[in-house]
Amino acid sequence: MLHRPFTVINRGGGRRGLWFLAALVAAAGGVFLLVVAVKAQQTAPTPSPSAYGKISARPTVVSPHRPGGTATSSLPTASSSDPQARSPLTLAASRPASITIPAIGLHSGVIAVGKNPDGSLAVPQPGPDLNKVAWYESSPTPGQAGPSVLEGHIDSVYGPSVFFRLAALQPGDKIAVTRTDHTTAVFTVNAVRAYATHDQFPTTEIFGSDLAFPTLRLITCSNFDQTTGHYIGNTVVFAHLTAVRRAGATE
Amino acid sequence: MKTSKRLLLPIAAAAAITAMSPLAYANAGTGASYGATLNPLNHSTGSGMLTLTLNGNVASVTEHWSGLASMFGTGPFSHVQHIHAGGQGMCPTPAADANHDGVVSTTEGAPAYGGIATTLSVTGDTSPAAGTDIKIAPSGASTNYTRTITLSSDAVKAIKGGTAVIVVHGLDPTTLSKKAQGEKSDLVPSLPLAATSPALCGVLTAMPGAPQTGYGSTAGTQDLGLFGLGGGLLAVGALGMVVGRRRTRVGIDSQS
Repeated sequence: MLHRPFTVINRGGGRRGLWFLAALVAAAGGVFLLVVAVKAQQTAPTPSPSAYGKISARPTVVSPHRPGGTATSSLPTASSSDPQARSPLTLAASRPASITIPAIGLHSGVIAVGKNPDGSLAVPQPGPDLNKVAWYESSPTPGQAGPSVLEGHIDSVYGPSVFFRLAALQPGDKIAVTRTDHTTAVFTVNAVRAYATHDQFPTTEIFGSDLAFPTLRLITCSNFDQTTGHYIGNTVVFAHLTAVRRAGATE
Repeated sequence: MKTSKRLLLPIAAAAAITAMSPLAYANAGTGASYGATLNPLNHSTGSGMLTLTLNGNVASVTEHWSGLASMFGTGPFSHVQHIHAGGQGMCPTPAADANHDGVVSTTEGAPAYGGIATTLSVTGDTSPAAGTDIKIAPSGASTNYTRTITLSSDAVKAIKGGTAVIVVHGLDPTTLSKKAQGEKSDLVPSLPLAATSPALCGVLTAMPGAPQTGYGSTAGTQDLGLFGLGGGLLAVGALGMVVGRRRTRVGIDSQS
């Protein structure tokens, strides 16, 4: 098959040769474009089972008679025997300005959003803020006691958006939120969960649990439904405050 | 090429339509769960959060706050707290300080948050009548509060309408201006102004439903246009080669 065309060219003269060459170039171009298209396919990660974790960031209560004084708390709380004690890291209110998640190479400005008229969480709209992370303005600011809620698009009409790789996070990964008061609240991931449909979205767990502790929830969409043309599920990352960096403290 | 263009256009158009579908909020949750982030008023240092789940007129309230004044004289500081209703559904700004003593008193804040609809007491009466009863108010610098309360219809209406405001009262007197330290409470004249002035405030809002944070451009097979163009070119090229070979064969036959 392969050597035949050349004999054809040799015997058949210029016109036939050109015709064949054009066809060959077209076919090769077609194959090239198909390869490019296949290579350009992007698929968002899904949470790994090992990232399931525990949603509550409440420190493990230390028994009154702690053997050898070993405290097993996920937060460096002063005294877990006092249920009303607040994390010594807890910050006063200050709006978030930017977010950095090294594990997924994310750095973004943070805007504020409210709710849509139908009660759902509003999302960044087309324009310069479309691919930014958004903070739900009625939730605590990051570092304040209670669940601070941030969300971002998984994709836009043009391709991956700011939270495209959110589901790749693992417990232990760090999330740094710099606030307008120039302090940086550093959170550690404790759970990454997938909710197949919006009905399964655990509203009260996300917006109304862990009231006494500075926690963070990062939300994006998941589970695209080809028939409706919409994402019908959500990925939620749960994290808790583990460090605070103050501006100038390390400089 | 004409064939491929004809094939390509509908494919590209279909892809564009899929990708550009507007956001839909199919499963918007209005829900019966509400939250209020409690932020400091009057230079108080505390903060907190309250959640409320409404079933008919029965509310399950969970609240945490900390960082408030801990002692009043020799005893623990009582912080009366309420669901306010009938105002603008807002927390007052420092501009509400009508007498310029540096403190937005409970009365000065009323246009923003309204009057007392429910008293969030730790036990007993939860009506507005218990609003200044310091004996049944949470006390100390911080609290974890849980209580199930039957609400008045006014309170339920305000909560559903998004105009209910949570206010926690009681300031550390030493944080007040000299002038304000000498003033009497606008609510209970036997107490100093600091004892009853608002320290934390938060508007009670319905918790949002799941957000629609994506357009679908990375879902399923992407770049359908590119696939169409590539496939079209390949088809045209292959066809060209077949036709070309046939013509060549015909040429060979006529020569012999």
